[in-house]
Amino acid sequence: MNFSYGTRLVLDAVSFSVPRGRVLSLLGPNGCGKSTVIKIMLGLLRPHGGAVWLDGCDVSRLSIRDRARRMAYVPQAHTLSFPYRVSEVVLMGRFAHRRVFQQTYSAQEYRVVRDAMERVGIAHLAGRIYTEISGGERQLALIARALAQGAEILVMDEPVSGLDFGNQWRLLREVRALAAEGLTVLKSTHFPDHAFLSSDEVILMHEGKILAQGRPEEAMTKDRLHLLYGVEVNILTQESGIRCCVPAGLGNRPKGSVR
Amino acid sequence: MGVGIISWGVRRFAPPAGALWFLGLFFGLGGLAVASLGIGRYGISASELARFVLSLASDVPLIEPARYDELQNVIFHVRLPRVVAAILIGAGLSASGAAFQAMFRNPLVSPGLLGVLAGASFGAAVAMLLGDRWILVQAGAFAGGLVAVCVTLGLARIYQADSLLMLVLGGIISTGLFTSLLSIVKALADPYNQLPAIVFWLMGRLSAVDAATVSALSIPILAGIAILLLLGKALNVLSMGDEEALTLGVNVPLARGAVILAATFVSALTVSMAGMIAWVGLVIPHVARLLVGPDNRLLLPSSALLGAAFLLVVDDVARVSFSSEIPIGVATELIGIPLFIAVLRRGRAGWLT
Repeated sequence: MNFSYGTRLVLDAVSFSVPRGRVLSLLGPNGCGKSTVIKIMLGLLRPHGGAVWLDGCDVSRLSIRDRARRMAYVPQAHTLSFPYRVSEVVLMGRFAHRRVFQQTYSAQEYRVVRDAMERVGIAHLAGRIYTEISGGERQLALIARALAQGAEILVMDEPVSGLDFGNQWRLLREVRALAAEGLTVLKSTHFPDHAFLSSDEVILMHEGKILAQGRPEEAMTKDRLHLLYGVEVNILTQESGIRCCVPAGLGNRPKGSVR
Repeated sequence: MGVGIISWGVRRFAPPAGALWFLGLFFGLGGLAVASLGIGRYGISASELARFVLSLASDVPLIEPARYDELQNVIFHVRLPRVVAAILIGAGLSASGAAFQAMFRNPLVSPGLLGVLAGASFGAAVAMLLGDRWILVQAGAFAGGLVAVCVTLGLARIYQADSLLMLVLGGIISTGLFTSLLSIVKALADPYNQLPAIVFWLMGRLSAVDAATVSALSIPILAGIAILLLLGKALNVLSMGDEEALTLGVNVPLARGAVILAATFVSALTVSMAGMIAWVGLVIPHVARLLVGPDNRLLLPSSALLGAAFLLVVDDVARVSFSSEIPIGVATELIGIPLFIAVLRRGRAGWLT
């Protein structure tokens, strides 16, 4: 698919597919088009050429409601202007399953909401005010909302940004667990380590094009990450087999630059 | 009617206090409305009012005929239209204000945001220049309000942005435009008759409301409020932001259009009924949110009830406290401002965190 804002081409012949039950990470520097890809996937933007296909049907032809039932979006944890309860926020995930003017939710819908909150371990927060819980808890609440939506695809835009170290890893573990249950996850990330740790597949994006695509160990090489971020990196493999990526330049810093 | 459904829907999560407040408001408003029939320059005692209602209902004369006719005149031609008008206007402005606050995700928004009040003032003033007919003024106010909001929507459309920010900017421009046009009309008006009429009209008054107006406008106002109430669930999701609302299944342009249309319609009708009544649409939703929380399914109806009760009380006060009646729009300001200050102090539970 192609996409441009005005005359600036943002996406140039980007094409990929995500198999069911996998975790795909979009990796790339700021401004490479990750967010645009995500917005097009969700149907928030229309591609200027090409289309997004979901089980053989064009996403832009689906109704807003049908799209919401099949794809759920997990935005970055945000604060709201109004102090909804956590349970009220999660309940919004059921909107597409009820008639628009029907103001109530059935007992069964409440069960779905409770299950979703239990699934990510925030059932105890149900009665708390969403604006008063921590950023990590808010992110979990938004994931619970997406689960309550009952969609088979989760689209996450940099889900770990703003979370502390522990919460980042807990969240990635949660993502893996969801994929193991059959959900398909597409997420964008700023951290190569997170892609190594939590993805079945990665797409490296560079200036609106796909630079490489494949299993993390194969696609993410030293040279490609250097090209992407302009930083020399080393990729280390730990004894457990987990890879991580560290900047290589720190040791060669000119003397006297840091005291 | 809505009581059972709503309290059922929220019973698991909302604090029971919220639903209780709603019920309290519902019956409180009923009591206030009946009491307000008795309050005023022409005194009617509670027992007399009760006997009047009974004899009306049963056809058994409990009051002497001359007095009965007098009461009938006062209650049906003076008090009842006024009480009903206060309820409709208070409910309409508060529900519109609450809906706008949710949609614009900003608790400082009032129903006049998109220019409807400025446009209505201008329309009414022009009508007063053109002639002395009350119906013309009402039509002018209503049309002016709609035109001003159309200007706002047109401006937002010109910039091809479907964003809330553009709507707000369009509203500022439109409000400014119609305010300055109003000034021109004032400057052109005959300073002995027309100018005072315009100035008094802008202060808002319920005393001029007649039974015919109330019965003609009550259905459309109630219909507009009903549409807003039906959009409560969608407004909850809309207040998460446009993109999220879309991915959660809300048809954002459609829902937003419906909210703007219904709120504009209701606000313009209230202005054409009783002129400018300030602060109700801004303050009451805040107070209601403190009482029942931010869930619009409960907040919108509670706001409507609270707004109706508020305007009734303010009107009762305005009616009896001074020898010459204070214009209702001024009275709502005088009472609304300290109320707003008090609410902001308690704001944490309302929306500030």
